[in-house]
Amino acid sequence: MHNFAIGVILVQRRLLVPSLASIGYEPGFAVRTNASLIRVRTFQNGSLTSTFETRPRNLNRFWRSQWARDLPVLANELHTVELEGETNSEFEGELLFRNGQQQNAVLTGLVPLRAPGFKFSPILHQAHYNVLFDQFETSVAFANLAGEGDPPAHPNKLQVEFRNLKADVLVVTEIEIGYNSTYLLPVRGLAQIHGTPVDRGLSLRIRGGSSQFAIFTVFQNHSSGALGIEHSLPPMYFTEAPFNPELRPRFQKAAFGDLRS
Amino acid sequence: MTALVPKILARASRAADAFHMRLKKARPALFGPPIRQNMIQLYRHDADFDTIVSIPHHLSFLAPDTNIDITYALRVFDRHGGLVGSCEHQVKHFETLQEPLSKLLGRELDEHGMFVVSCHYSSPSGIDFLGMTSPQFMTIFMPRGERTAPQITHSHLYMDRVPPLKSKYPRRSALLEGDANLTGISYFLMNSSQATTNVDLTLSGPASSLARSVRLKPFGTGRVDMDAVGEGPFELTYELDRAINHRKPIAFRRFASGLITAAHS
Repeated sequence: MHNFAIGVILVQRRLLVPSLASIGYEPGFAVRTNASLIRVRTFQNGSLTSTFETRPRNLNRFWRSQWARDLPVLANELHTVELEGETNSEFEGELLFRNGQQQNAVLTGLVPLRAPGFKFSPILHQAHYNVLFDQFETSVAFANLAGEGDPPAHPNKLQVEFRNLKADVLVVTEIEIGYNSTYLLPVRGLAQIHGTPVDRGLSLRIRGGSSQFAIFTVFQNHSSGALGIEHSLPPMYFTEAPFNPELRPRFQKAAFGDLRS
Repeated sequence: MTALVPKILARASRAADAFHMRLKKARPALFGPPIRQNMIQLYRHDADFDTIVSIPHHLSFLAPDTNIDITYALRVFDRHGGLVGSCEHQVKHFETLQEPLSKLLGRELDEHGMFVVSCHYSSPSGIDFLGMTSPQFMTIFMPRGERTAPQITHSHLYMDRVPPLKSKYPRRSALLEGDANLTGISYFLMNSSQATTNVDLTLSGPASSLARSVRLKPFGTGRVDMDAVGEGPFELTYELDRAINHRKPIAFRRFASGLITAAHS
């Protein structure tokens, strides 16, 4: 009973490290932790393909070429970092990306690891900040983890609604994201596929999915490969409703009620 | 004992803030909707970057069946804390306001400084289930050079309602810096309070440490340039003499390639 109670309270968490290999970057991470062990798992095509373990030191900074040196790089791979014994529930990890010319970093929290069969709530991402000048591309990078066992059988679909900055709906489409993977959505690229004009700016509303997501916005300069990155702002930054049990059901209905299940 | 008084005052200020929000939640028609106001962020308007602000109509995403106009108010300060100007812009359902800060303000900015965003809803009806809301926005640092990518930071901190009393506040940045091509780091610090705040910074590397101090005027912004060359790792520790709300410097790293990247710490 006691162990059960502890198991309920102490949800295991993971730092999700997306792959940016498709745009020329090696991922890494840095943590200062009181964990007894750092365990890095690499998933390729949704399945666990390698595990790396190390004892933490005072400062810990690791790169993909260290924790999965012999594994060929895939664009859709996802890396998760487990900090065994870390007691800080508000822990933030530093994600790193380098390409031989520059290095980027973004601080982000850890996501809960869910048990098989867990029913995930749909996510909402407001991608209103897109830079669409010719020399840049804006991408939304989705890192997602359904669990560490076999991925679920049902698809992981999200609706993507394009509007211009004056709120006109331009196109509504759908993307399917493989479980336990990294998925890069190039905003202008997807708009062009659907014949969507970008001259009045773009704001995307992305909803749905059935896994645990960490979402990032990536700006890349085409000529140099240079990068800018920031984590997304989930609805909890805008409203207390997602974490208020009295308000949450009405918020879920309002924000997602029109989505097909 | 001397450290206790600032803590008690800070706690009392937070309690008063929470009570104010409870009143708004209970009677939004009378007291107005419960909105966290005066969110702050850094702007740059110098040789390296200009600043674009992207503000969504957040109620559209959270309560799409409503149709409430949001009026955003921006106040912009120079690096010394002087008010450069203020402006208001209305944003309608599902619209996005995304423009250079200087265009929104209608005048030139200082080289760097702090700007503050607050908002007003045209109606409180239909959004009671959102509880307390917050006018989030993203800040995009647009490079002047052709090779650097836009850099981006979110905001989540607010102006101090009551100036904190003097009390030493040591902190360590969660960013671990270092890269084979790194040549330096510029740290930008904002004073979210109306009291002068002093900050001592130390950047420790494998071979040596660099120490700098900066004095932040009320609502002022400071820039501290550090020579940090190579893989490091470099770690920033710093001590404020007041526990102001915005305590985390924003780092801009410079590389031998001429590229610059940014991150909040």
